[in-house]
Amino acid sequence: MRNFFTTKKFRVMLSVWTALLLGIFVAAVSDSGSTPFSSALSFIMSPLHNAAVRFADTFGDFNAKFTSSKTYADEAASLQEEIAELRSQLVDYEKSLHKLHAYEEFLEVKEKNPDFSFVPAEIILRDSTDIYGSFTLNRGTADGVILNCPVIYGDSLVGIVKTVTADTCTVYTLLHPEVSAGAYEIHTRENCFTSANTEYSLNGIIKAEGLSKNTPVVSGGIICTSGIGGIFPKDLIIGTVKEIEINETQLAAYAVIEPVNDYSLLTDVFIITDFEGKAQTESGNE
Amino acid sequence: MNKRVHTRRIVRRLIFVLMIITAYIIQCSVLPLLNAPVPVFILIPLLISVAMFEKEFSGFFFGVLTGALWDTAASLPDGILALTMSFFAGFTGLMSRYIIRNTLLNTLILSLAGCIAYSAMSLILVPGSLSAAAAEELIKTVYIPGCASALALAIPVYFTVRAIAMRLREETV
Repeated sequence: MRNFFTTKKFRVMLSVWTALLLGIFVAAVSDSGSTPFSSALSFIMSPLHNAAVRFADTFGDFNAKFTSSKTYADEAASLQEEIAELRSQLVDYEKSLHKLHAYEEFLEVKEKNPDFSFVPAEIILRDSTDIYGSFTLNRGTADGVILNCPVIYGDSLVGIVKTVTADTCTVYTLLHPEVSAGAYEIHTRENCFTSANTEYSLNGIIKAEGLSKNTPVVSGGIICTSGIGGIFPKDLIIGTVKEIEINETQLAAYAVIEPVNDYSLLTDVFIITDFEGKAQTESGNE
Repeated sequence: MNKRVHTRRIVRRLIFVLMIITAYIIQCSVLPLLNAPVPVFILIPLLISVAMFEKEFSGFFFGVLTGALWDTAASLPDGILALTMSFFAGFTGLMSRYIIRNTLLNTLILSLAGCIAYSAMSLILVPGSLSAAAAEELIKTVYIPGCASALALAIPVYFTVRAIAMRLREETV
């Protein structure tokens, strides 16, 4: 075994390893946040990702049919087929309704904000071990997506683009500690900013920090983006206040917020590529 | 080199590449989009099994491919999985050539070690401060089910890889 470390093969492996290490540094300092190797692979794999999304959709339908036939196993075969067919149609209907609802909301947002430029995107990859609900979309620099583009669903904020290749981009949701948005509560107009930590993210909640100790914000209040900083447009809904807590220093308060969206259930989102007041910054936080 | 031996080698490696791509699509795209109840680390036992048969040099490159694919979906810093998976695969290939025998038990042990190392690395690299309670919750809900699923899948994966490696082995020609 000792001889292996003096062979040409070992030197080749070491060179590749060094190149990979270099790639990580390149990714860390580059605008896209991704290694050249990842960018190339994303491009090559994008047709397969789309096929996988179609497969997941088809399998979902098949599952509905299967459940239906199992449930109605005692009924006549013709009735079973009919029920399965109706169920399948219902699944399609619900999916269409869901999509229509998202597009209606999107249209409303577009009408309210004619300065917004959107790109519709589909979720193609997820890291199942990521507690922050990050996901990868099928849009990249070729579609005008750049680093720090806000991502929305309907009129609510989902997160921000953190790495981008030619065909794909990775989105960090509001549950991610690296994402923070300037915000305000719509009734009291009190300014705050969102933050996340692991414990909160595990429960699917975030914080709105920077509230005064005697804040008039109460449970049920709605938190929206303030637009300060120029990363996120103004008036995108972040979530609802669950409770108000006083922080450890006893000098200020923070609100516990339940985001509008369950990020694990999202399948389609919109990326805002441009809006009035957008800052030309490299920072991901406001 | 005998032409048939060469062809067999290429076909075998192509099949392994296709298996890795399929496993990646299943692990990172299909199952999460179907909201699978537990994470499935199918790539780790597959890579370990392939490296057991392909040994350290080509196993290392299978590791690079696996890690780079996983990097496109993972929330860890880009490139880190290509680095670690190539290390796992190279190490497994070396172990399999010089120290241990190529058996299911050894594949299971190395797959478990790989899963634990991946889980530890993910926990260390989790952005933001991780409290003990949160780490415990993560281990219980994400990493233990992920490692268990990887171990369960290691058995059929190992036998599939072995069947391909045996059918397309170079010595028989």
